[in-house]
Amino acid sequence: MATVEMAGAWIREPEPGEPEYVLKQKLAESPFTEIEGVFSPVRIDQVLSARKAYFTAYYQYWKTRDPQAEKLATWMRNQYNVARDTLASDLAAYSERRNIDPEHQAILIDNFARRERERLNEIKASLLGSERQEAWKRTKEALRKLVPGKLRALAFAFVAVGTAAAVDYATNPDREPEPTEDTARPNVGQSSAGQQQWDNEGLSTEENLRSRDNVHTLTPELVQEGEGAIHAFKRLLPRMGQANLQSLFSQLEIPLPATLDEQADVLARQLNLLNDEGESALLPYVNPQEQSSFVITIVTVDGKQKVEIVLNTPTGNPQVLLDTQNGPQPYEGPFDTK
Amino acid sequence: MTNATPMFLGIPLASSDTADSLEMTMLETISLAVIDALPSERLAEFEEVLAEGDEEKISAFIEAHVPQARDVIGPIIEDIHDSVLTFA
Repeated sequence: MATVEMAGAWIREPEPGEPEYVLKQKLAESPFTEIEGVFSPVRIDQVLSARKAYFTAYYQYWKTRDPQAEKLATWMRNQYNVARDTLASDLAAYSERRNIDPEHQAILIDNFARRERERLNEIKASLLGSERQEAWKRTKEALRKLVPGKLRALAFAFVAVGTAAAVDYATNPDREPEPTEDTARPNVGQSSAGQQQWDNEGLSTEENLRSRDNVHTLTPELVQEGEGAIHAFKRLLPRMGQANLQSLFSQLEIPLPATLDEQADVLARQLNLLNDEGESALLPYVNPQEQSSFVITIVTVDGKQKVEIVLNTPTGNPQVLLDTQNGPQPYEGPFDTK
Repeated sequence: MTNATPMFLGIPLASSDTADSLEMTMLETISLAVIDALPSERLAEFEEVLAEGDEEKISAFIEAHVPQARDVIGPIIEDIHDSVLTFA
């Protein structure tokens, strides 16, 4: 079987002349040439090549469910992660050394992320059968013709389906999700908008890199239209995991309530997100035509944990609702009410 | 507030162009995954529903006809979200 043979070839140490040998050489190199100011296209291509190889390997596994192909995909995923993390680390060090303007760096990052996704889509489309390739071409064309309002509606529809999955994963910890095109990672990332805020509050890039393994950030939870904080927290809190949930309430110096309903209610109350009647009020600073999101981040710095809850709104800067760095008291405003 | 921060999946970005572009990339990626996962006989129907752009119809269609829809779409959203934050 070709896949098995291919998997066998990739799993053993690559030899000169084999494609994976070239890839390995590329990953081992670190030529941080100063093209385009910060990013080197050579370095980016290395990461994208690793990503392409991983994705192709994963796709083989997905189609065949072959255990050998799975091993190959896992190996390639690790190679990709190494390449990506090395680039990120070099970039952070370079930026700090050269005092790169954060806004300029953000644009470069955005461009990189977009390029990465576009390249992946090309790869995946090339692997589809002819009938689906034609459907994809027509769909892509249709998407590009849609007006912005319709596009936004589509995005909401997809996110609505996708975020429901996140809750499923968190509430079924024993369940093994299918491997995904990335890492089938749990719903905890390594950095966040909240992390960016802490960067702004004085943690150097180097300090952030050192503490990266201790940063736990929930994927932002979108607040549904017309929804209050309690409902949003009821969807968000189950994704934290018991230990992080315990830590959150410990930071607030409140015993962890037994039920999810109580947890969401207590947290909303603590953050002053209830109305005068004690009900979950609509967030006053949320534009109902847009969507907002909560981000909960727990970070350990020098052995000490702190929790931050940020509300991102499309109409203003992120609102820090809670920052336990200086004690358990929530942020009391002023809130952006526009 | 006059200078609204461009957002994508709750992440503040440097420009609204970038946010729009990432949104389109996400839509394309998920559409591609849905096309791959849909039974052949549903492909044309998906194109029609997508072209209409009705949020509720699309959600309902995907939930009804894409096997393991949440497992297909959820990781993609997380992946894109984490990609944008990789260097943050």
